[in-house]
Amino acid sequence: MRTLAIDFGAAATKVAWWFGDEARLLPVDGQPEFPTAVHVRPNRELVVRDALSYLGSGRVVTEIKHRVGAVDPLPPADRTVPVGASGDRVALVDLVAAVLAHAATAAPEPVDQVVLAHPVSWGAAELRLLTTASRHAGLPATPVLVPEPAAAAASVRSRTALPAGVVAVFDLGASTLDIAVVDPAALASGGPAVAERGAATGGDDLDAALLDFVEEELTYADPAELAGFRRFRDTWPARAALAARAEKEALSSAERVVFPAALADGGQVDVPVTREAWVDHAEPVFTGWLAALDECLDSLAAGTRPAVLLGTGGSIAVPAVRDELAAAARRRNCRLVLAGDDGLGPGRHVAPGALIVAEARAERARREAAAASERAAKARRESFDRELARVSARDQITDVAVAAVRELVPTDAAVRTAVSWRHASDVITFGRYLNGRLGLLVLTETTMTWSCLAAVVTGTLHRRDIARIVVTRGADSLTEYGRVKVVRRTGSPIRFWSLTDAEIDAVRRWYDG
Amino acid sequence: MIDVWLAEQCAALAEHPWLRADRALLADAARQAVEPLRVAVTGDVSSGKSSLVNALLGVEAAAVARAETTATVTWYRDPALAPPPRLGPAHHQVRVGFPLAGQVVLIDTPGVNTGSANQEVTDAMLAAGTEAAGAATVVVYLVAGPLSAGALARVRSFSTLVSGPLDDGANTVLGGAKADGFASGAASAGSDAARAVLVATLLRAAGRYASAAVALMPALGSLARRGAPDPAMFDTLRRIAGSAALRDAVADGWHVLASTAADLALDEIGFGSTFGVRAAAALLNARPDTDPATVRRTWEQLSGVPDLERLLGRMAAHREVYSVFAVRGRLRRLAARLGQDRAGPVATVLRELRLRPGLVDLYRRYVAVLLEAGRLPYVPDDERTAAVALLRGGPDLPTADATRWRARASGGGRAVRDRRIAEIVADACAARANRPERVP
Repeated sequence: MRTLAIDFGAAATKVAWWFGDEARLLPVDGQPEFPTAVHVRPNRELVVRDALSYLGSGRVVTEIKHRVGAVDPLPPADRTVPVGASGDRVALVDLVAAVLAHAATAAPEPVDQVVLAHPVSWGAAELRLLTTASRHAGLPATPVLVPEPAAAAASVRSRTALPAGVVAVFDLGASTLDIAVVDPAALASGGPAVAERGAATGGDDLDAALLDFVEEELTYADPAELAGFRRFRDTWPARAALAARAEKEALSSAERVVFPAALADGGQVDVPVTREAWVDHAEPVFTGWLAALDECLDSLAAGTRPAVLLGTGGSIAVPAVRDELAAAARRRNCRLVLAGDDGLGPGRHVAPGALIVAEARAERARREAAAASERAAKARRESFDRELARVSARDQITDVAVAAVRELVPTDAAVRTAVSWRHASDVITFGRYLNGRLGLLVLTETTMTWSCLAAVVTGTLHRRDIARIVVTRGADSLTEYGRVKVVRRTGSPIRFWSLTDAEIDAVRRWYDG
Repeated sequence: MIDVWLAEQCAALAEHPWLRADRALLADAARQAVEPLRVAVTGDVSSGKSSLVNALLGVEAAAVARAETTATVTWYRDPALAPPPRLGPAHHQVRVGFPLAGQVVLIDTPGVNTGSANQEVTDAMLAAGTEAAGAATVVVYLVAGPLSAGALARVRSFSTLVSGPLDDGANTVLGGAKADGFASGAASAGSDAARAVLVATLLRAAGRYASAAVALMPALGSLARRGAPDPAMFDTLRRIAGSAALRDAVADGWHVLASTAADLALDEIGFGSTFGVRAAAALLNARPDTDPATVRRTWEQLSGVPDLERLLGRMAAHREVYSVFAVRGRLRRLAARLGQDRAGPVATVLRELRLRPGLVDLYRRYVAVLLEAGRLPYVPDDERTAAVALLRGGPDLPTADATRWRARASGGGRAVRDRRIAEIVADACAARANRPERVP
């Protein structure tokens, strides 16, 4: 089955596909992910490709995922979203569908099944929107829905040895922090999270803290420069954010950067920033994240304390975040596992993990179906045996006959009623019928002086298909004398069972009187 | 009214057979949702917490009802309120009238940062994982000096427990106690400038985990509320005011004053506030006809206690906003503690809460509280004021304002929380714009 998994992210969307037995990200537009943003053209056409390059138009919608989970009197499927400051509105479900449809363009082959990852906190209404959007996007019906923490844990586990049991997933995205304490196995099979907590924060807060730090540094400089920088932030917030993100990433490896603080009049002031000073300035952000983690973990019952703290999400790439998580793990006596240390990238585990979870679910479903089938066959066999025992006792069927029945009746043939048949004639019709599919002829000693059993099993034949059952007798051919055949309505015999010589002999003696 | 609905749900959960063991918590949460704003006063030892509680209770209540709180939490409620549910042996209930009783349930807790076992009961209210966690809706945390790491951790822990959906710290007030001893740069101890610096320092130290800070002189407030200065004390003040040597001695500290004029009745005011004495002396020196009531009023104002009362009064006016989120936090933690198998009924209530028709309005009022508390400081005051009015059902915003709020919501470079706040304002504008016109 050709399965596509989509991680519909708050900031970026990723797509995964099976390459042999490895779940890997599929490039979209040549990149491992694309921004979750939609450009709404004036003619209301929705464009996802390169949407952010139209930011200047004021008609780009971002934070689409946040809108799905936001508090709103309307269910998500009925909501509309403002298009920038344009005054236009567009249906939320259409925006999500546009993103999913764009994701699906990455699939190298037609897709049979789609897997959609979602926040663990989403309830039925949010999932309904996701399913509807998937349908609107032209994706296969009935998508498989996989909670993000379960997917992340599955992906990491496929690359790194993780102990079984409860995991605390700390998923720090650009504008979201989702903490979930989960038993990945239980969650993947549809069970609830042990605990979950979302927070309106994320890596963007570190960018904002960096800009705030620069602004504060400028308070010691020329007031005109400070005013110019403030105006720049207010007027071109996206450009300010991009600059901050670049310097934040630079501070991941450098101890010191020079921040090019743009001014509204087109000028620029260089502000030196050390990593230590920035981290110190952003301290409330870090401690806010850890306080949320502490609250979530402290509220657990003693038996559900996680042994592993799993950090995922793009923002855990920041060294200071990793340091803070390491300290938290030490305090909690947890093993810290950081997604991304395995080479995949910290924010790119959910889509491949969703594939893994979906496949594991399908495999489990197959195993369960096989086990159920086996259990049913066994039950039918036991029922058949009971009925056979009852009839054989009642009709004094010999062990030979019983053994013949056992041999002839397939194990999956359900027996409603064993046949008791005491009449032989040229044309024998079924006196009783078993399970709509099984004809059984039993010749008993009481009527035939010997134990002769002919069982006709038509495991693939419906009753309506059977014209008659013929026991062929004839002086001309002893070998045919004891043969039993079933005749289809079309007239062709479908099966013969030969009786043993002794049985034939016994029948002949009886028949001859 | 979401608070009433939530209280009913908590009361129903308390009767659920699966939740018998948590009946006390649920009954208390039901009460918390609807009763006056629960305000806990806590803080470092020797930060003047007892004096502040005395001042808030007022002279009469403090005299008759003030309980020893070294090891227990004492809840002061208006007698008109129904008897409270019991939270356990560490919680002592007193029903008494006091100035804020109509708006506030006052909770006096043992001091923390003591290293003694007594603080455990306070910590239990400030950290997750206990029945009492989040039982207080607002905390006034007193610090006597720089915000220590322990104090900061407690403030943050509490803030996270009871905060609204934006993890904002709106429920936490920092009290800079002993503001009379605080000086900063050229600003002399206790002066308005020094107090402003103290407040700014506290807020900065607390990051986003407090919504307000108040410079307090609890001892002076308690003194004034007890009726000081009495005639003997007033006479002492007059003598100090009339003597340059004594005034200088006050400035140099009580030990100097005590050795300079041993016959002064120093005992009570000595522990009250050096700054209070200096202020009274200055007042009496400038206007010899000043009467004791004027000194008392001056002291009361200087103590910061009326400022704190006004702040709590304003918070109490939005009680539902604070209480609903605090109770929601308690339910969320209860669900986590119960585990997957038994959390079903609680999880159902939490899910239904998200769908309540009034929740959007509650979010708007919550954002109004945050804006009033100074969030998004880069937004001009007039825009902020107009937005607060809109969020509380006031007039529409000018189109230009609405556009700017929408831009703030979708723009980058600001904290995620700021963008969410802006988004709620912008959505409120849009909801107005989409409102069907009334048919006459």
